[in-house]
Amino acid sequence: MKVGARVALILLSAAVLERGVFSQLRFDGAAVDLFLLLAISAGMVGGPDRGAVIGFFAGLILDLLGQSPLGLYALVYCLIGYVVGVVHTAVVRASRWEPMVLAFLASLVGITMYVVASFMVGRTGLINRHLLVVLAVVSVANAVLVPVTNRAFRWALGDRAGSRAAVR
Amino acid sequence: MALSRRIGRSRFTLLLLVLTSLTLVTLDFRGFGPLDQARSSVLSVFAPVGDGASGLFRPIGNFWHGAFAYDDLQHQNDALRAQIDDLQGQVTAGEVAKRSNQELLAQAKLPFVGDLQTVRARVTSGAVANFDETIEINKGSNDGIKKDMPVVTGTGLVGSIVQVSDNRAVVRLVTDTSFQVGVNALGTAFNGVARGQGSDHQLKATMDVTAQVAPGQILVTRSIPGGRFPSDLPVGTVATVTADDGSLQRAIDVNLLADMQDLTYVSVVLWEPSP
Repeated sequence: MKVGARVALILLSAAVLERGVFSQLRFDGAAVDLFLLLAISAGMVGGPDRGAVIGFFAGLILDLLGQSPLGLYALVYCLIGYVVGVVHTAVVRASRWEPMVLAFLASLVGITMYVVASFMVGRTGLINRHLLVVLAVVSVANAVLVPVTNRAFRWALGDRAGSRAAVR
Repeated sequence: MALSRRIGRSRFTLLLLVLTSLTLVTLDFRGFGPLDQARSSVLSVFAPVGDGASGLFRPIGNFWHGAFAYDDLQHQNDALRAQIDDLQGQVTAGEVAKRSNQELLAQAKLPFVGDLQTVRARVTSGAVANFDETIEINKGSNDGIKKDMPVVTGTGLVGSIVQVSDNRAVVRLVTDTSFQVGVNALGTAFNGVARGQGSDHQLKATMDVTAQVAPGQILVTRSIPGGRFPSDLPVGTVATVTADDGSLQRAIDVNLLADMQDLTYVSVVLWEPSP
């Protein structure tokens, strides 16, 4: 199976899981954001280039599934995928916990960036208690789940992708 | 040299993606038809997938709700027991109350949906994204539902249709931060605009500073030419009124009449604004 088809399979599986399962399992109104997790994971495993592209498509799927301004999640998640790729590449000696810490921090930044971007396109009112719950739930869940998605992307992109990103 | 070329290529890719995203956002704001069509297609495609997955994983969801919403369930249970007690006491007075209610509605000239045709639909799921306040219902354009039609329960307005496919529709709830509706204080000529405030399930309305509104007063939808709502759909009751001396408007907290926590069935009002 080609790389593109494998990545598409991961994105499609994520869409089904998010739509069918994770959006139903809400903790105080906040659900796990698998698409942000995929953007972060793609950046870690595939580097900035692939992180940006996969982040873009992950965000675009979430845009199509939801009712936010179309393209807004795509914009934020492609930036997050790119930034995570750059930061992960810059880490010389990664510890076992580094992907989890990076996923936690990148989730915080990603959600905040989305709220700021929403504000800039006129969608105000997102800064409330719900935002704090979303920040906490998504960041913790993504930190816990990132080893699983990293493994999936190592399979999809090939182990060499991970080595290349690390060498850079 | 190779490294800088690679970084340059990465930045070029990122720039292209950012520009594409911004173009999509712009086109979406301008109401570009094909994007709307793409969303409707995704809604159709994922409806059975989502329903199947929901059915398959419902036991997990039930366990989750049981584990993390135990306190809420306990409160609901207590509230329901109290309601049963109240209702048993009210059964005998029910007919009298019904008659009084009909008289009140007639006096207030508030026919609720009146002669307007409605389509009853079941809520199949909630929003996918964290910042959307939407629900999905099991009826679509095959049942005559169109974009922007109002959605109500037996007690009041809950939202409007934002996306339609053949057998599915998405309702933007009144609590969504991008939702706004023109309101009128019942029995007065005072008009205002009510806006969603996110998940705290209250609306905030603004009215002219001269408006004489008091807590408990009912707010209903106001029909304006080309507007999205017919007149006199109950929205909520005035909770508090804040008068700011320096402002030309009053800020009003509105308690919704519809129970947004427990939406199982809703009715879509088949109403379209006259051109």
